[in-house]
Amino acid sequence: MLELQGINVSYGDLQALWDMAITVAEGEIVALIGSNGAGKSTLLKTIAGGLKPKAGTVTFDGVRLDMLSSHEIVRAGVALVPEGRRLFPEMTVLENLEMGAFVERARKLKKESLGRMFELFPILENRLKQSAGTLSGGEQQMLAIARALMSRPRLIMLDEMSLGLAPIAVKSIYDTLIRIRRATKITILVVEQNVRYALKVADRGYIIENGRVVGHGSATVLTNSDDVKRAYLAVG
Amino acid sequence: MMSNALIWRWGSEQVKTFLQILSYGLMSGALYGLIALGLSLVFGVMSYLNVAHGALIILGAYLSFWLYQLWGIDPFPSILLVFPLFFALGLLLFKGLFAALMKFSEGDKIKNSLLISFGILLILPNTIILSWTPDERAVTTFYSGAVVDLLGWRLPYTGLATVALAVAVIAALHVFLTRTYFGKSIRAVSQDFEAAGYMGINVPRTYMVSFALGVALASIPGAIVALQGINPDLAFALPNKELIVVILAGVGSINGLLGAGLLLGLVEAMGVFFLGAAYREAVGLLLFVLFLVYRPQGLVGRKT
Amino acid sequence: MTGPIGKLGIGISCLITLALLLFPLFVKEEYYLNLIFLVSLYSILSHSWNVFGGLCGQISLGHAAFFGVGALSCRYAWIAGAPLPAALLMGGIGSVLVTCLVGIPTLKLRSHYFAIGTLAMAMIALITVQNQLPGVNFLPPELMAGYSVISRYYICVGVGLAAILFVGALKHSKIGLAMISIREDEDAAEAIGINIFRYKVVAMAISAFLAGLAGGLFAIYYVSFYRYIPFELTWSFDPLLITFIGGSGTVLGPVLGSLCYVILRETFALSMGQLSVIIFGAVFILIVLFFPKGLSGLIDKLHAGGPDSETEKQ
Repeated sequence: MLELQGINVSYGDLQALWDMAITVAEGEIVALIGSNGAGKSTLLKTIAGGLKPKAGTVTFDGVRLDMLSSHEIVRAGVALVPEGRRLFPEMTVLENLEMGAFVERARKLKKESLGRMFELFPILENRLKQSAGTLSGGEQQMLAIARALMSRPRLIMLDEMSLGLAPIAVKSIYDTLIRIRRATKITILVVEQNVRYALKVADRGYIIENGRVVGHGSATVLTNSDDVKRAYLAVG
Repeated sequence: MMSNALIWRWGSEQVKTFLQILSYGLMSGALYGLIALGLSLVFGVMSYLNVAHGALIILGAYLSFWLYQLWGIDPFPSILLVFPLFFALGLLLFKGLFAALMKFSEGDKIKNSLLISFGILLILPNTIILSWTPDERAVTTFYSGAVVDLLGWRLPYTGLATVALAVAVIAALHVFLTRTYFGKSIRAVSQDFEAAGYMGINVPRTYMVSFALGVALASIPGAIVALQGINPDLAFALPNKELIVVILAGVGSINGLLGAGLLLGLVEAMGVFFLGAAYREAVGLLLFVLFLVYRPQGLVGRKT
Repeated sequence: MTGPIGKLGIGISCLITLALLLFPLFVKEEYYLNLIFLVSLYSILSHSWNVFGGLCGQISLGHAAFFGVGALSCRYAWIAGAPLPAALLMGGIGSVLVTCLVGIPTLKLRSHYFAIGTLAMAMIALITVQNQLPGVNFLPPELMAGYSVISRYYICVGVGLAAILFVGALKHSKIGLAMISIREDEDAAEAIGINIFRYKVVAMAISAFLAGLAGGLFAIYYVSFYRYIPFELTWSFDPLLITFIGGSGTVLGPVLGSLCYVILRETFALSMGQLSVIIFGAVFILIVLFFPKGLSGLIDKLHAGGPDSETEKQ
């Protein structure tokens, strides 16, 4: 469903990603793991259209995403929950959710989507009129995910979701993700520093270091791999 | 005027004058709020400081003037014609000039937008001078001098209309920004344009429309200024007022503009009452500098 | 950014300097001396803006205040009996004192807030002078008697050349490099230990001094003037325009820009002053968008095409 080939991305003169190739099949949960600054967020941003690759292609169901701007990519069915959540701080919870449903296709289904979000994240319904900036960390993360889901994406990407959250909140969110996948067959791409959680939830994983893909495999294989254990699980 | 009003009794004459100056100040203040509207919108959404906004207001004033001269259209209804015209002009300006700024980094973009609008500030008024001479023009209608007289307290019709118009326009804008999808997307872009893109909001188009809207808003105070008397030099006097009001209100706050405008009008009125007409500008400027240095978030804004 | 100028450049500079110094011996009409005087005056004022805005990156719109204070300080010192050079110095010093009082709090502000803050200061200064010191300042008869255009010419050109050399030296000095790094990235500069505030103050003081000198030159040149004239905002805007058109941050930029400005103004003075401003404004916009290095950059490009170009080394 999603295919990246030969992706090279630079920040000005500084090259960040080298020849990356990733595939994600429909309905899968794929994890991108690697240490800080390895380039995982850069990759997600590139897929979402925030950065343009110098070379390489990003294809989603046959459509070349690397030629599109970020809003067109959302229209194509890809949503990003950015690192740091990036909520609209001075807008209410409801308004943030509404912004998520900005694209035509999602706007028509707004009421229904809202209903679904309240089922998944009941706490949001109580906070509808509150400013997004005043929510707790866990609530903000839930809002960010709900907001992305409002666009009715077929692929949702989550960037460093567990950062700054209590373990209980992280577990709750990951459980919700699995529920969502079971219900809607949505495809999920996660970037995580918390490798243990990521591999527990994912079907497959890619290991990214210094802007390159250095390994991949099914979650079980990776979890049992000595390299991964040494490099990430001891720390994570 | 009273310049040494330190000794002042609650004598009826002084109170009357005080009230009079106060009400004139409030009416000026309403106009100041309208003047700052377009500037604040554009500044809030994309951090472009369009110092030529004042020149655009003057252009609008001239257009209202000519509409009256040639076809007898009263300035207030003329807004209905000038507004869409200015919207189109805004689209053109953005596409032609400001869009070229997109290639610069954030910091340079802000700096260069200031400079470009500066260039426009040079070109526009002088083009006006060449086309229409620097003579002062004014639209004089049947209600121009008319006042509502309450026992000697005189309230000009134009002034009252200005206050009403200011309240109406700001309220309309507020509704637009909080109840329509597009309006909300403008707010989203101003708070985090990258995230807005990830929501599916077409950020470049939002910039363009916001800019055009900002220019279009210049038509409203333009019509009022046409009633007061216009000459090209005003294009240089207005930026001060605009900037002061924007900063007083707090960047990005539309609702605060009315309050900030009124505050400025009030402060100026007090300056006139206590220090004399000559210091009117200086008092406002002093207030401005104090806010800049000690309360840059303005009346309404939050500390970033 | 003009790097080491090269032998050709130095040769041309010496020739021009010589020509300027010998000019009044051959050309007696005041009109031409006046023109060169103006070019030099504007280039000094633009250099003052350039130090703060071009090198240090802080766009200030308050230079009219420096210019005005310098003009009046010099004028009063001169009328009180000081000899010309001392009076000029007073102009520079007066301007720097004003900076310390009023300008320093504005340094807290960043980018366009700073610009409008300085603009507000300049406007306050203008209004204050208009109200507190109205009217014209005339030259007393004994000073009238000793007035000669030629001496003004030499003083101005001399100061102008000194300013160019000074800015050139500053640009390559430690202080200058610190300023440039502040301009490029204030946060990064702070991270490597540069005391931002201190350098901004230094840049502001140097800038004020030069502007004050320029103001002093204005004061000794014009026989009489309304006291508020040197505070008018045009003295804030002109150096900004001139420096950008000539090339912000460069040594020759302000000079080239001043040359264009004065020539353009003179060409259109007889027809309509507005047209020159319109053209200037249009050129300014073009430069901001497409030629950020200004005229100086264009000349560099031409120079780089020549046989002894420095770009080969890169």
